[in-house]
Amino acid sequence: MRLPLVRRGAAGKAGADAGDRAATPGAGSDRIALATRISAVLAGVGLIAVLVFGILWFLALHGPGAKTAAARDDAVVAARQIALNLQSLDYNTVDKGLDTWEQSATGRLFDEIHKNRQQYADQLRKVQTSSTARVVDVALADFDPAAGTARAIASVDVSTTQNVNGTESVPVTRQVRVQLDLVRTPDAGWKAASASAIRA
Amino acid sequence: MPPELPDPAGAEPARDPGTSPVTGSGTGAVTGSGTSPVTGSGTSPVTGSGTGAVTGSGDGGEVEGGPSPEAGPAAGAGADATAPEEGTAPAAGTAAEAGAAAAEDPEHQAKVRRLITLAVAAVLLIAIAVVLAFANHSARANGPLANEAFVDEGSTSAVEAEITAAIKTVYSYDYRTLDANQAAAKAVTTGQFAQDFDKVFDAVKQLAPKEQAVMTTAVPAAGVLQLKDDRARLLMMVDQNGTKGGTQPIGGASARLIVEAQRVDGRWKIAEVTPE
Repeated sequence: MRLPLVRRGAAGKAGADAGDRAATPGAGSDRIALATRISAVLAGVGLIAVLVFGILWFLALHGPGAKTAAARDDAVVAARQIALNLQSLDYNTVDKGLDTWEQSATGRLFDEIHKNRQQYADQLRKVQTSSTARVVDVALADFDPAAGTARAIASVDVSTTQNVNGTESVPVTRQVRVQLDLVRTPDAGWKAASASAIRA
Repeated sequence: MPPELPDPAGAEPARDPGTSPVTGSGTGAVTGSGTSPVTGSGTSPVTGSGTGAVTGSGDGGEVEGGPSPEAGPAAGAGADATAPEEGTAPAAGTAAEAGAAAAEDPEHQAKVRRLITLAVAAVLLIAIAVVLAFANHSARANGPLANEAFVDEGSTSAVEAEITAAIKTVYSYDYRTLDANQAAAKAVTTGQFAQDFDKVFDAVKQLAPKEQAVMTTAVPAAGVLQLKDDRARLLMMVDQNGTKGGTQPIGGASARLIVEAQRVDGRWKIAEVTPE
């Protein structure tokens, strides 16, 4: 029996409004028609917005631009690792180190390493140096994802110690600027076809 | 009466019941259950009068014609919709009949249903659009496209070319053309770097004429690390060489620079330089 009390106010207004409506016959239908039109327009706008933002979102993650960006990031990651590999060599593990060199290389660079492998190993065992690289930054100077080629430049800090009469020397760090020509191989990803220091 | 029922004018009698629902609902439950037209509304007068009161107060003009049919389909039961009409009906039988008839008018109900469907669709679609807009924005800010280097090829090559030229300009000078060198450098720098440059160049202006110094800068290699909109970061290999007194070489410098670039009015300028 609270209900009647609640309805009193509501009913009063309803009655007044009903009076208004009576003064303008058909207002209810008109309102429904207007509301229907507005809703239809809003639904249309909403549908277009859904399509536009949906497509934009999809393209942001899976569009051609996103694919290029992902391929670029792959190349940068590979270049960083290759720059690190090719600037590191420890006379204690020279064969393993040169294996890594070969795995990082393809084409002309691979041939060069492979051909001179024994010479490098002998030389390193003789001078007994260990080089550890840290790649500070690597950037692509050129990138052609369709052709599968890229050129990367890298700032590499190479820290080298030498074994002198059984004692390791204090490390000497060189700031090296490296340029790599990269080729995307069909089965093993990006490899360096050439590597050189950028000298003044 | 019956011919008037579908007509909204049938609402008119409701003006009196306007106040009467007070009693109407009191009796409404009685009559509601008593008048069998609304069969199965034995429980519905409660919900019926509930919705009737709500919509009635909000939009009283449609007590008979509008809201009750609206509330009806919304509640998913046409019987409920008629229930409030029954509630008001006892006070003004015409209104009750008008409302009930309007609610039962299939054409009218179809219109209302269409309105509700469209309204719900509009709300849902706009909500989904908002979510997608956020997802899109977030994907572009954090996903693969957060860096547009080599994706936006035009800007990538433009920033590389323009900043390479800018670095050469900023780090090159001739003791005979210092003012022109400074002006040229100012034109390709921005922000804090542009301000700092003046201080550094003041020292050059004092020394260079005495030493007859000429400095030339080359950029043997450069790459774009990051590019987004009007901001870019580049790794640049830079060599500076010069002479004093025409022939005597000044100790050259080879550097690895991280250069922050900013596009101002369509032209890339140096905003910050950090050796590494």
